[in-house]
Amino acid sequence: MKKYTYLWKNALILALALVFAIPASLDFLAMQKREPVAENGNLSEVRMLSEYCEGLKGTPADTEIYVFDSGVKGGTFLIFGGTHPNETAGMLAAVALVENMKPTAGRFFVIPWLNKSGFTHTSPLDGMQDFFDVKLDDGSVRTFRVGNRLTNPVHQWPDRTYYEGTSGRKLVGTETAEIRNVNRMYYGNEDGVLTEKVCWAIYQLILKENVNLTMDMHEGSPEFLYLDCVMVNEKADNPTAMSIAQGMSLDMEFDDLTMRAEFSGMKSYGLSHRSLGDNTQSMMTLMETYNPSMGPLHGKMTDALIIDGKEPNYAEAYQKGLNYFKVGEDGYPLINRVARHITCIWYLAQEYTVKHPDRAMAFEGLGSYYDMVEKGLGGLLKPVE
Amino acid sequence: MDIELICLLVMLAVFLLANLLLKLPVSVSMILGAIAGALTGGQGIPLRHMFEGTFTYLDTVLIISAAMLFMTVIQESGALEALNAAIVTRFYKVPALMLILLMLMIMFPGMITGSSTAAVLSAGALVAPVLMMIGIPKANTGAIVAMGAIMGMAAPPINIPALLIAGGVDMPYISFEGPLFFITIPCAIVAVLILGLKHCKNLDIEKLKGQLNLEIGKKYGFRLYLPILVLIVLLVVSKLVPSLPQLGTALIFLISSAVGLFTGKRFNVWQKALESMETTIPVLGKLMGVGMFIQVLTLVGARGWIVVSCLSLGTVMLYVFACTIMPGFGAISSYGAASVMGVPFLLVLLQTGGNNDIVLCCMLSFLCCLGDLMPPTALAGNYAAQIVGLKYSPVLKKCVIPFLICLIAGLVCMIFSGSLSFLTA
Amino acid sequence: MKKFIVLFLAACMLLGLAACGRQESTSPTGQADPNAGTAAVDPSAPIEFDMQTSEEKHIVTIGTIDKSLFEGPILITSFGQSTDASTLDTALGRVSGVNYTYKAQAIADEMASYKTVIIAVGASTKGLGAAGIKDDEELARAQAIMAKLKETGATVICAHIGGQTRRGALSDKLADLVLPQAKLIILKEDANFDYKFTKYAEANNLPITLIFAAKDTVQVMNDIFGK
Repeated sequence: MKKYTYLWKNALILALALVFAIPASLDFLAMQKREPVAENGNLSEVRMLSEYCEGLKGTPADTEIYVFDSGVKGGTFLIFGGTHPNETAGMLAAVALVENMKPTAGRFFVIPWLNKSGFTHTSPLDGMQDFFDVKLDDGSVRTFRVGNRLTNPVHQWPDRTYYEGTSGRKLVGTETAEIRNVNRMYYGNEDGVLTEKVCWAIYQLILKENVNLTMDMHEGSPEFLYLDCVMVNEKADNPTAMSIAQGMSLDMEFDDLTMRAEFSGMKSYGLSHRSLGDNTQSMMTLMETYNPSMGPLHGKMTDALIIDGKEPNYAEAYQKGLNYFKVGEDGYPLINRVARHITCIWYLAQEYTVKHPDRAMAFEGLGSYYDMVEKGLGGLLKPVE
Repeated sequence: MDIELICLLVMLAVFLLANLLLKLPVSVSMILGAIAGALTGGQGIPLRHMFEGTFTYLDTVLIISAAMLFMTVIQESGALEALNAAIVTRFYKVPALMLILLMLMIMFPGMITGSSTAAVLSAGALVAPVLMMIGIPKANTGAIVAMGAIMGMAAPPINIPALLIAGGVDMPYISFEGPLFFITIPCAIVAVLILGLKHCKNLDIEKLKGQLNLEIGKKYGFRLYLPILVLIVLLVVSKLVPSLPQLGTALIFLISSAVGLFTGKRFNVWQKALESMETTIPVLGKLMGVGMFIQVLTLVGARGWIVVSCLSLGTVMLYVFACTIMPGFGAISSYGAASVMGVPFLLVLLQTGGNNDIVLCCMLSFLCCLGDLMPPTALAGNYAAQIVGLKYSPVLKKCVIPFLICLIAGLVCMIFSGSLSFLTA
Repeated sequence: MKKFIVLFLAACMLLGLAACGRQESTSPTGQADPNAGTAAVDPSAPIEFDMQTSEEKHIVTIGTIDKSLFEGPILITSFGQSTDASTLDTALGRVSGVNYTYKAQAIADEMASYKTVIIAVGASTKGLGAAGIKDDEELARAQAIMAKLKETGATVICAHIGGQTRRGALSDKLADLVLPQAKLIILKEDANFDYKFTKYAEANNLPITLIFAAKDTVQVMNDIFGK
């Protein structure tokens, strides 16, 4: 008799757990579906990243590459967002490029969801949104995912207690989880863990397509030192790489925008700008804007925090001298961050062309920073079916 | 009153009410607190967030479960008894030295794994019976084990709160050994001597021999110690030769337990494994509840609010808060304390000038580690109490004096961090 | 006991929270050395001082610049390997019809071929690291170049355009090397918080061009080298 009560009790607890677990898991499963992209007549073709690494085929990490070929001989520019899925502006800037860009010289490869697996989950303890809605000018609504900066453990687990990436970065202690961070595992490994395969594919893409210039779009929490800033590996293209970046920086300044250019850290092993810059012919750049929803000081988590980028806690922290980076009362709306990413890319292409006229790259279709801000996300993004 | 503050108060109130008045388990009380907070914060019942929060410490949960099995195995196989007999018969003449050695033994797994729980459950479980045998009362023994585990957790090479804080300000985890040894070793020695020395000044070895099980060691010989040896070798090797294939701490505990099944007394494995899991589930539940609690705290914005508010204090208050809130936060989670409070505290303290960033980071992490003694979770205290067969309140009572000494030592080192710069050279 | 401790803790937290409300804000005082190893915090909370440039008036020149001094061939080099030399490269590149050489790590022996040398003064830990150069190596290179320039008699422009964050022990040492031979100082003015550069210029009757922002280098280069 006693044994049966025991069984019933356990069964009841299990059933109760399932009542909670099933709806919650449906929430997580919803994140597995990629957002649709609006059609753009200028798009030449869509490839999959697995074309550059066989091992990615059929995995949740395989992702779309949108190729724009102007037909005019010139250089090749690789642009990716979504290295860290929680850094929303990078992904959205790439989507905006895919939906609006018209190349006029050279070729452009654009990847909006680089760590596609990372878009399928969120980070525990941080209370992040899983989705946010953007209302378009025609009244329709587009929903985008906010993911986690790491690959989903469902796709790659467990994290090893020690791992040495191909760049020589040693992952120990709390860094062990970084084995699921695309921007720590470059230049990747064809036979390595899933995340490394993504890195390897990018590495191969740069080599095989003879990419001249690469931009890795990021965001950081407002405590971070290098914000509104581009990291440049001056190794490829030495000594002009930094001059190209400074040219972009001056151009932005003439538009009353800040975008510093900084040398890529020598010990940033495994990061895109360091490892890919050291091992390929491409000039490597990585851009950061700040995203108040990412920092530990963020307040209540809502769509508005992501879209308006207004976080009074950070404004207060800045006023009290706790933040290096200036955070104003008005915040840093997502559209401004997206526009800044795109403007920086546009100027980089222009400055690269000035220094290397034989490898010209240029595009139009998005307008200036101020045009984009005026249009807003609702005008910049196109309606989808 | 800010809505975030209201959320926080509601969460704490519901948690305390459920725990103290309704006598619900801590884990369940935390769930109720989380639900109440989410409702107050206008987030409904955020199933996804509650679910996600409970998975934060999945790895820790696995390690603790495996370590519990290991502890059961070495107890039941007789390895513990034999080891006790061996240590006491060798070192009984110099009790102070014996105590310090035993303390270092408790610390060791904590130093390697960075987890106080692992230290309590592995070395702590081995050492506690010895301490009791030489005449140290149960409560003091529990306190020694708990303090040792915490010192081990804070000691280099792996100090997870320090790693979390350093990671948060983009500081490489280099040169942390000096300051961390500087604070942990003396504190550990002082703690063990205060708690233990007066009880074991005059040891009567003949009387002790009566209590020791000298037979079992003779019967099985050296193979009795194999599981412990396997554990130490695997743990050390995996850290020293990291290029070898990695087993992971949980698997290492399981392998060592499996070895133990064949090296000593036979026992009903299934029954004992069930028993050990039953004792450990409340703590696992606490960890999951903590995860949910902090996730909701973050979701409704209360975490950001706490941090911003604390950072608006003057320097003196800041030090006072570092000494109270940081370990106090450990009641919820010491890792949480490091990541939520540690990073901003360090940033502000650095701005006051004349401080050494590494020393400050080490001392803040040390204060976070002390939080593992804070009820209601009190991870270290909880398991230490279980090992000596007591509830955790008498054990924690004994920890108060060494705890305060550690707190003051940490504070002094923080204030004079500039003069301690030589430790980081 | 357990209850007591829990209550005590809760009281502590509540007390703490109550205290939060009425505290005055702190203002950071210590000025961190920008060259120090790990800059975890703001290395340069802006320092207030009397500035002559402003949002409205971006460029201010004190003294007269004799344009005839600055003949080609022109070299841009860096003392301290910060990004400032590449900014000058970009800025001068936008002045039409000027031929110049940009070499951040030029050495003393090359100096004989130039009549005007623009030196971007300012040390950057990251830049030196990226170039794999140690502080004293950079200092030695700078000393050798200055000695050589004394021989050749080339015109030297001391350009300190990194602003306040670029000041620091090594930067100041490098600036002190260049100043005695400079015929013109170009300075992003926020770096002048201790009036080091304006005082020097005044004492030595040296023209100095103060700029408000990095982009002003384009205008300044145009004024000096434009045809």
